[in-house]
Amino acid sequence: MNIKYRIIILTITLLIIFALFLKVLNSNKVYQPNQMIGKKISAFVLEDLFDKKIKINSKELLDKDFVVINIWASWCVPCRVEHPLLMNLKKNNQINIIGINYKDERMNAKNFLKTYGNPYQLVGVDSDGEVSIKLGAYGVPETYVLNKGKIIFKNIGPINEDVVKKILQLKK
Amino acid sequence: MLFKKYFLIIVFFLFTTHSSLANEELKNKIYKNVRCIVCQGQSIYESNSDFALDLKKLISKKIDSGESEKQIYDFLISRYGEWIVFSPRLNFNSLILWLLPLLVFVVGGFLIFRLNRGKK
Amino acid sequence: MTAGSIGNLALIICFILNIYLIFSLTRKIKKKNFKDLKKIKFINNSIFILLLFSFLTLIYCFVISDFANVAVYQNSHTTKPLLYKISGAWGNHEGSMVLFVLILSLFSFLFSNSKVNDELKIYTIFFQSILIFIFLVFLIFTSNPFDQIDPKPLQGLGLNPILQDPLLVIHPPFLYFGYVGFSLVFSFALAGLVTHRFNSLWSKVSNFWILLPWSSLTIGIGLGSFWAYYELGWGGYWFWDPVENASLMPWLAATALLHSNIVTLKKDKLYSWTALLSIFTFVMSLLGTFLVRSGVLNSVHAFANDPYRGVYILSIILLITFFSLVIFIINDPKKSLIGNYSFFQRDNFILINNYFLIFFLSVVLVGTIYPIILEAVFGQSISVGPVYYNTILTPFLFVFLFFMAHGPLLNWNKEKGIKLKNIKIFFPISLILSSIIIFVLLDYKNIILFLALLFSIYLIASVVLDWIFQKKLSLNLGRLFSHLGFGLLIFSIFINAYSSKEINSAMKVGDEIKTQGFVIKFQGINKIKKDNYEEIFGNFLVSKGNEKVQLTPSIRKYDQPVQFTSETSIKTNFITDYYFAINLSEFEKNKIMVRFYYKPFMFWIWFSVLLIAFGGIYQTFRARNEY
Repeated sequence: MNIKYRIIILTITLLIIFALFLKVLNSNKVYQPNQMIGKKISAFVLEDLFDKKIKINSKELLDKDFVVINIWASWCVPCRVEHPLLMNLKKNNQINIIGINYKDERMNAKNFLKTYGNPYQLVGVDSDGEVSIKLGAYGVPETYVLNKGKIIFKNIGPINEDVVKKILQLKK
Repeated sequence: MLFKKYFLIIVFFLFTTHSSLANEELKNKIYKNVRCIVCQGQSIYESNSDFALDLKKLISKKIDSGESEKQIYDFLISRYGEWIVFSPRLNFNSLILWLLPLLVFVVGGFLIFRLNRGKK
Repeated sequence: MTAGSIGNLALIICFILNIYLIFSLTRKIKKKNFKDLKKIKFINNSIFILLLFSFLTLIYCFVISDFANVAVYQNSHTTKPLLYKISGAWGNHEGSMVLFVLILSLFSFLFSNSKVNDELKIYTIFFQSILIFIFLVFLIFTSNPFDQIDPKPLQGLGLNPILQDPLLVIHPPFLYFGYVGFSLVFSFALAGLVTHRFNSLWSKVSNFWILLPWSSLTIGIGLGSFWAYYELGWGGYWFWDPVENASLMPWLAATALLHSNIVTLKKDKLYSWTALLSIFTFVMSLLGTFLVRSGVLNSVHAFANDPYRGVYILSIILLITFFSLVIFIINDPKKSLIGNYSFFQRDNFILINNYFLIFFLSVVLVGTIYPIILEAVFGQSISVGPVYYNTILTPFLFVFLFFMAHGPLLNWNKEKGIKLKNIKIFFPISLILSSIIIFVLLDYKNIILFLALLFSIYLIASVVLDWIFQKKLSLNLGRLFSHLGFGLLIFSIFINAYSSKEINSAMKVGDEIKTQGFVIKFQGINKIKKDNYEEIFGNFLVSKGNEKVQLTPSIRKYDQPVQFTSETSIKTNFITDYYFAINLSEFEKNKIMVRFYYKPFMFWIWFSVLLIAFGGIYQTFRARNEY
């Protein structure tokens, strides 16, 4: 019957809409742009946190197989939360992390590292945030894994156990 | 000789003020078209958040150094995805955006046409 | 017993009464006993009174700052001015749901006490009561404003100072009275379908029940837009923001319904379409409700971000949609299109513009929903902003205006061609007027602007000149005001869009800027301290030629929670607005960021919205009297 046929179509349509919106409601709200995966990082030069005369140049990272970059700040609460995991990566797994101190005061940054420990091999100062934007970051903390200068992994927000596992996997 | 020198200076000033005016307009135009992704639906023009201010500074620098609007959008999109620019660029996804309503228009028109015809 | 628990008790009694009402109605329907409605009316009225009481109790809790109440705790503060304590009651998710159910009940109350065929009345109240039941369940069990916190907090979390505004006090009630009000014509349509009484008599009655909420929604949208203009500080008044779109979609559907209903009334046809629109309009209202409250949206003013609520609301909406459409499918009044059909008939033009309205609605719908779905399902992101809407809508708008100008001039019956008088007189007049405006009066010359002026003036001219030359006295004033208002609205929007100017700069006291024909002088600052904020005013003198305007924008620092807001200073001479806003500077400590906007015809935009609403209100009263 025409009526039955229409009701069936109606039911199917509404079920599809229901499923779609259910997916929408359950989806991740944090915007995770994965544009940069596979792309080469922009060139940058940063002053070292502890010694202004030393410059950290992105060129030096281009030939390394495995580089971890972590963007952080002393005023950033989630950075405090992920900090122990970064310390572990350095102590237990001997991973060299390059820190980029984002829009911070040098004094505060140094105090932060003195109080909680320094997981970084090197720390560069990005006082106006420009370099971070060039990398495609939009907040703190963010963590990147590079292979020969190309971004192979990006994590927005504080790292957790899963991210640590992923990083260790990538090292191989 | 003196006249020529002053003339050149005047022309130079006119040129720079004119282009700085045009630059300002261009910057504002771009700010209004770039989304502040840490805000809720605002453009960086309307936002005073850190991220918005940083982007504005960066874009301002880029315009002053002569980059074009398209270059700036390309730069941003390559880092943040299509979502950061408000006007939908023409690609497969946005094609549906433009075609879907037009489809409704055509189908509706067809239905009305049939309605009109059938009654004579 | 605390006030909160009394309010909650009232809700629960309502709930029980409502269930009883539904059973009583079901019994009557089964027995086909449509007489003796006294008991039904009494219960229905009681439910309304109880809900009203409950709502007033909630307001009372806010006024006395009873922070044991979750809603009061999360949204109020002892230092908040009284007016905003009161409006805080409906300025949050839970409180506004009480308002939502209250209005469902209000319309049921009004309808049951009006003169309508008993059978239709019973069925309508039946369907409306089911709606009330569904939303009462949602309210009491998931969004109860009377939920208590133990121990009682000493102070509330305060409300966002941006929302402490007189306009925002009245904006929600008008909106709700509007889009929730469409529930009644929804129920009335279902009643008509089921009883097979969907005819021109139905249309005569429903006219009132469409016009009343439509007028209110028009005002509500206008108020929201006006608020955005003077509060947000960027000179804009419509952003195609998803929450704005959520209120626009029911408005578009309702406008289509309004006109389609007139056709069913006058010509006894188009029933299927009108019935469908009655259902569709309310579904659009529900969709708006869902979008705003479920956390699905990314917007400046989206409500509660709770995904569980979202699932609830989604399920409710889809169930209501499903059952109403099933009723429609089963009872589709097929006797729709009778008689001769000619192109140049008024009802045909109304149908064509109905079609355009639905097209506009689909554009807004796609623009709002498509990005959400694309993101969630495919992980792709796309941005939809004003460029999209403006580009796609504008050309169709022009054609729409043309049909709108012509439709009322045609007869309801076969006509031998377009009235030549119109083409000969109105069109040249419009052409001349728009040419004068664009070439002589305005700076900006653009083909789109020219066409916009041409068609909007054509509409205005058709309405005005037809009124002047009208020989009959039975003139449709409601239509005159509303159509005139719409033409004026489009005219004003386009002039404003193309002639606005803006100046951005950083200034310190004593500075003067000369640019784009304006001179802006920063004369000085002064500070004041109020109850819950401190304010710094900037005194500016803006000159354009001989015209000098004094403006005093300010920056406020609120204390609970600590927040900075920018308050605009707007002066109008009815032709143009001078609009000024300031912000603290991030980069230069002794300067402030200034934004000056020169905005022509803003007043006429607001005036035309009022005109449209006024036409609706006028017609509402006429419809009331007619039945």
